[in-house]
Amino acid sequence: MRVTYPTAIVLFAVSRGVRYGFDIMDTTGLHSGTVYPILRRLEDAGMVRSRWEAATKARDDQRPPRRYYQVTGAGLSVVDAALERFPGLAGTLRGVAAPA
Amino acid sequence: MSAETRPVFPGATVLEVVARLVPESHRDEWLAEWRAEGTHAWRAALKADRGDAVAAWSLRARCLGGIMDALWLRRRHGTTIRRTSMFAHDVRFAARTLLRRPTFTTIVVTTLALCIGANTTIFSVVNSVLLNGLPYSRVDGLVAVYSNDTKSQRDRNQISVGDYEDWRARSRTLAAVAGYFPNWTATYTGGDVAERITAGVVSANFLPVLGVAPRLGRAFSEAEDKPGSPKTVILTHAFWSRVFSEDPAIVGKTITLEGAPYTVVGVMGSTFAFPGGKVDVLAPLPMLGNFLVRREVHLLNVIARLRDGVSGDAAYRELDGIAAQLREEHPRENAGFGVTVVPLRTAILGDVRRPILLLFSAVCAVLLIGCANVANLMLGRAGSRRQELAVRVAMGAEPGVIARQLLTESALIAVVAGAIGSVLAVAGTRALSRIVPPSIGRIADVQLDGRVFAFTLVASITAALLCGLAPALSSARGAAHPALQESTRGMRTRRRRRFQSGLVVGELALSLVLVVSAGLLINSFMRLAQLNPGFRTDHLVKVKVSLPSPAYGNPIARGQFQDALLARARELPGVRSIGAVSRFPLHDNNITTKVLVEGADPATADTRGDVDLRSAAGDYFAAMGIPVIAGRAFTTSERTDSGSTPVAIVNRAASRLLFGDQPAVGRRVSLGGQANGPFFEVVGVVGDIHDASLRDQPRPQIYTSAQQTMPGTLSYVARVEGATVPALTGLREAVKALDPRLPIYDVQTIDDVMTGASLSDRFTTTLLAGFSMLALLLAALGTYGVIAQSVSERTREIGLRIALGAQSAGVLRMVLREGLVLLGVALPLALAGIWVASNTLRSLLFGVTPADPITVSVALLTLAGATLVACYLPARRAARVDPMVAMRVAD
Repeated sequence: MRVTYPTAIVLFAVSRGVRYGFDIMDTTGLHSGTVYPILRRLEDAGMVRSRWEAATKARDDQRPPRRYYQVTGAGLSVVDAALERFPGLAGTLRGVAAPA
Repeated sequence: MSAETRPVFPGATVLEVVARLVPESHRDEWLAEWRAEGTHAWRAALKADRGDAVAAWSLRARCLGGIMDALWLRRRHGTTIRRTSMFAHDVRFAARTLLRRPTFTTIVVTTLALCIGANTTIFSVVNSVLLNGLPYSRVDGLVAVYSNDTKSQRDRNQISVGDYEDWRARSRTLAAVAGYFPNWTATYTGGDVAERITAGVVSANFLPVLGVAPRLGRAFSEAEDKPGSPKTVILTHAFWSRVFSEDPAIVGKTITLEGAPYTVVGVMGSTFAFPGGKVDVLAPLPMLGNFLVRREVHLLNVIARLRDGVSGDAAYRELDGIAAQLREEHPRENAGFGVTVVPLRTAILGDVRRPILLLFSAVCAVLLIGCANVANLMLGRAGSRRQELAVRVAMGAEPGVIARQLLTESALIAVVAGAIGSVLAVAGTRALSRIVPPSIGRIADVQLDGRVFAFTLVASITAALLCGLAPALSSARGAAHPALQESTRGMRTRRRRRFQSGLVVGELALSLVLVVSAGLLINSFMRLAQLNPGFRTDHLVKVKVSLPSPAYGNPIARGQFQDALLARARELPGVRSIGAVSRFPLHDNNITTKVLVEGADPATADTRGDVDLRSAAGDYFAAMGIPVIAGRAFTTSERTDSGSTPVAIVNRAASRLLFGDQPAVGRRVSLGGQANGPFFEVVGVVGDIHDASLRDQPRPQIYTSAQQTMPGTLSYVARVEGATVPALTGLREAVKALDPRLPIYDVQTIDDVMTGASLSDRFTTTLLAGFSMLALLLAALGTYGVIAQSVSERTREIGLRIALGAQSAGVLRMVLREGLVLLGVALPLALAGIWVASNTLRSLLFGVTPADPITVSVALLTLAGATLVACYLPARRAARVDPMVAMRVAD
């Protein structure tokens, strides 16, 4: 899979613990029409995997369960490569501390 | 989701609409994710007191962005998933439908499996021999060069070594010229075993000209082309495997051929095919010994590689000019010799292409007939499934879906038939490779490979389309207009019946073409089998014995062995007469010579065609049953060491050629055409025999006495009383008793020789006869199916006729007539097909013309008989229709 700059940002956000689709939009500043297809492609490529959050937690918050995304081992190595390729990547996320 | 739990947030409705774009399989999950995100985002906004219009529009915009997500999912999963699931559903449905009708399914699958199996088997021959190409580099640039003997009108003669060397030296259009002698036999001795092997004697540049190299070791060097050079050989892969167990260190070792050591310099790869047939070893030209220096002996086959950009025609023009020069330079040896240049591919494949393509055309016709049969059965079945299809249309199935479903059924049938056909093809190809004649087998081993299986796949898909398209379209059309069904049913039934009749007409026409073709080949084969070869073939056995140098280098030793073996064989129980000949008719290769009659102008020998040269000993003519027409046969007193006059016997054709109407006995002739002799006195005239092939006219032959010429290799022929096996065993033991190290080979009865001589004809005839029988059976079944269906659909009408006074015999005639009308319509089509096939057949026939009226009539009567039998059963059923029952039958 070709890792473009927006793809690298989304993957980096997920690797930094930003787990939900709308939260990724908020953090990266990317539009929903960009973020979701990227997430689908990353999941297809095995770089992220998705899960549904526990029904009990959602019920406690009186809302439907949300789908969250986690980076995989393969995704982490791509993140490392992307950080080398795009040096400014670490500073692009809003409200997330850049890695040391 | 219920109304109570339906999330309410700006953009929720947008999501509902966008969700329609998402593939059904992913839709619920997609909607759940987006709704959860929307709900969470709106709750968060409200909680943070940011639930204003800007936030609402922002959320709506995000939801609208879901279109991109939905489209991505649609592109990624939508159509494929849907198609996959629909395909799986169709296949399951088709399998269930077919399993519900096991008899129908078995018949159609068996029909197609047989046809596809037969097609694949014959295609394996087409693939191995014609498509895989010759295993040489840049075959298009290779040509075969022959000498054109204008005197005897034979344009593909071998070339003398002298001419070969002159062509090689003078030609500018040929980049390289190589020569080979295809089957020089030699005795291989290993340990205490002696074996007669075949050597391809080749010029040093033979392998480079073909563009192939040995797998181990090297090719021959130019130095090894010269007489007196060290003796070397290259082993073929088969010989290396069989005798040396693929010893990787064989190169450099010596093997013993004809009692002399030969150093192995290379081993060919398994894909190498010697153009002249199967050989065990390759050896350089000096193995030919004295023949190398005799320009009048034509023994080399020549292949050449054209220079880049030079055409075959240009090479011919140049070589024709060189041949003219050689005629001037060597007027005696080269008189009447021109040149023939043909592409190597044509030279090697020319003889086998026609029968192979004939068989392939026949088997394709059988497949077409099989497909027509199956299509007819499926059309009939589609008619009986009207109700089922109407129900499916009423439940909302679209015509396209129904057509697709029916096509899936035929595809499934074809896939299963293709799989079974492949298994049949594996068995068929194995069987075929055992009976394939040497003319085909020498080019390539017949085997299955990826291309053959790809062909099976294509044949299966084609079969599926041919069988399924018409029934599918017909059913879909019918199902598309259920409201019109009743009003148009009669019209549609008539149209379907016409179509089915058309298919049967096609089947009958094709099968008649095949039956006529097979009939012509059978007729031709029978004429060949009944042909008198000029000698008696029954109770005749032979063994071939070769006397290797140096043990039998002396002619005296060879003569002593010959006499001793003849004497021993004469004493064997059951042997009535025994003789020997240097080249056995219809089996061994030919050798020819010029003959000059004593006192005649030497030019007459040059302008006259060559004569076949043989050596015979003992009671050869008596044993063979060749009549002595004038003079006498050889006697035991005519021996080299007795100082007797050299004698010869000519056959009737040679007598006519050499002496015209004058008596031959007592005249003297010089062999080789030398005016100064030596001369042989003609002591007898014997009958003509078919020697080269049964198809060719007997050629002029001259026999010398083997007791005077002492050839190293002779076939000993014995006429026996009773069983042939004890005589063969006795002959073998007699040879072993004289010299246990001698290789004995070609131990066979003459019936075996005759069978071998007609192997190629037998192969083509047997297969074509089998295919035509299959075609005839399928066509008869097809006719039966259509007539039976017609009778079934017309039961009411027939009942009405009977009720109105029609007699059973009249009804019987009416139905039979229906079948014969189909045959009548098929007849002109078949005649056109026979006319087209006759061009291909003509060259394969012997003693019969493609328009042979008897064969065509017998074939036509056979097909008419089969059609009548096929129609009789439904006709009898129609004649027995009970009008009361028939009138109650709903149309």
